[in-house]
Amino acid sequence: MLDDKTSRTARLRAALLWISPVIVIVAAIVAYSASTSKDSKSPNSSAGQMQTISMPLEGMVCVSCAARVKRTLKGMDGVQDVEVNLERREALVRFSPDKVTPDRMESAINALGYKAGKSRAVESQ
Amino acid sequence: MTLEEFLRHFGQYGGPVFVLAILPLAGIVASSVCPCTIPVGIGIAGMTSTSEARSRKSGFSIAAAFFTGIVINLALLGAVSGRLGAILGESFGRSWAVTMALVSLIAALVAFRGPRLDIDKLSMMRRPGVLGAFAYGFIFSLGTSAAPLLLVLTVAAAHRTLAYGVLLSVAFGIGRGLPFLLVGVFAGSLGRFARMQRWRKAIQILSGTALLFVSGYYGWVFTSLI
Repeated sequence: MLDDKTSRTARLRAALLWISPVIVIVAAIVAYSASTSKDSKSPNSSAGQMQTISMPLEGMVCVSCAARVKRTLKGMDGVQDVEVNLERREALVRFSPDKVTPDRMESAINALGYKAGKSRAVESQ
Repeated sequence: MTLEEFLRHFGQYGGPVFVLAILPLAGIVASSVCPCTIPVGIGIAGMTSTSEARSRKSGFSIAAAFFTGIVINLALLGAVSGRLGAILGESFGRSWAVTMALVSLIAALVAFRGPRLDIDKLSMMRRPGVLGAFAYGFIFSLGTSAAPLLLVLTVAAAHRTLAYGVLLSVAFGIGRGLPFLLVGVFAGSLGRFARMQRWRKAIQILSGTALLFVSGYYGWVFTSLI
C-alpha cells in the first residue's frame, strides 16, 4: 500500500516535471502571438503621416522596466514602433499623430510609475 | 522616489567618501523600484528553501552565492564602465531575458526533481548549486544593475578614478544584493521545516512553482521587447 502511494507520488512528480516546461513554452507562444497581433493592428499601412519622437524617461532601472515601457507604448493605438534605450534613458517612438499624441503617451508612462519628460521630434515623413 | 531623485538629492552633499557611504542605500532604492526584485526574490526564496530542505546551512550558501554574484558582477562592470552602453540596448536585453527564463526553468526543474534524488546525489548537487546561484546572481545583475550603475558613476564623475569607480560599484552592489540575501536567509529558516518529511514535498513543489513563475516572467519580458 505504501509502495502504491510512493509510486503515485513519483508519477505525479514526473508529470509535473514534464508539464511545467510545456506550460512555460505555451505561455511564451501565447504572449508572443499576442504581441505580434498587436503589431499587425498598428498603422503600418496607414496613409497618414508618421512622426518619430524621443521621450526622456526617468526611473528605469532594468530590462524589465524597458519591457514594461515598450509594451505599454506599443499597446497604444497609433504607435507603430518603440525602441527603449536604457543607456540614454529615453524611448524613440514612431507614431501616427492623427491617432495618438505625445501627451497621451507621457501620461501612460507616468501611470506606470516612471517620469516621462518633454518629448522632442526626431524626424517626420 | 526614483533612483535619479535619490542621487540628485544626496549626490550634491559632501565629497567622495559621502558618495561612497550613501551608495548601498542607492542600491536598496534601485532594488525597491525595480520590477525584477519581487519575481527574482521569490525565485531566490525558492532556491534557498529547496536547498535548505536538503541540508543544514546550504540555504544560506545559496543566498550568499547569489549576493556575491551580484557584487562581483558590479565590481567588474564598474571597471569597464566606459563600455556599459553595449549591454544596455534592446537586443542584449532580449538575449538576457531568454537566458534568465532558461536558468530559472532549470532551477525549477531541479527543485521539482529534488525529492526524487537520493542523499549521495543531493550531496553532489550541493556544490554546483552554490556555483549555479553565483552564476544566477551574476547574470541577473547584468540586465538589472548596469543602467543604474551607469547613472551612479555619472553622478560621481567628478571624483572618478578606476579604483574609486570599482569601490562605488561594490558599494552599490552590496545595497542591490542585500534584499535578496535577507530574503534568502528568511526563506532558508522557513526551509528548515521542510526537513520534516511531510512539509518537504510541499515546500519543494512550491519552490519549483515559484521558479517556474520567474521563468514565465522573463519569458514575458522577452516577448515585450520583440
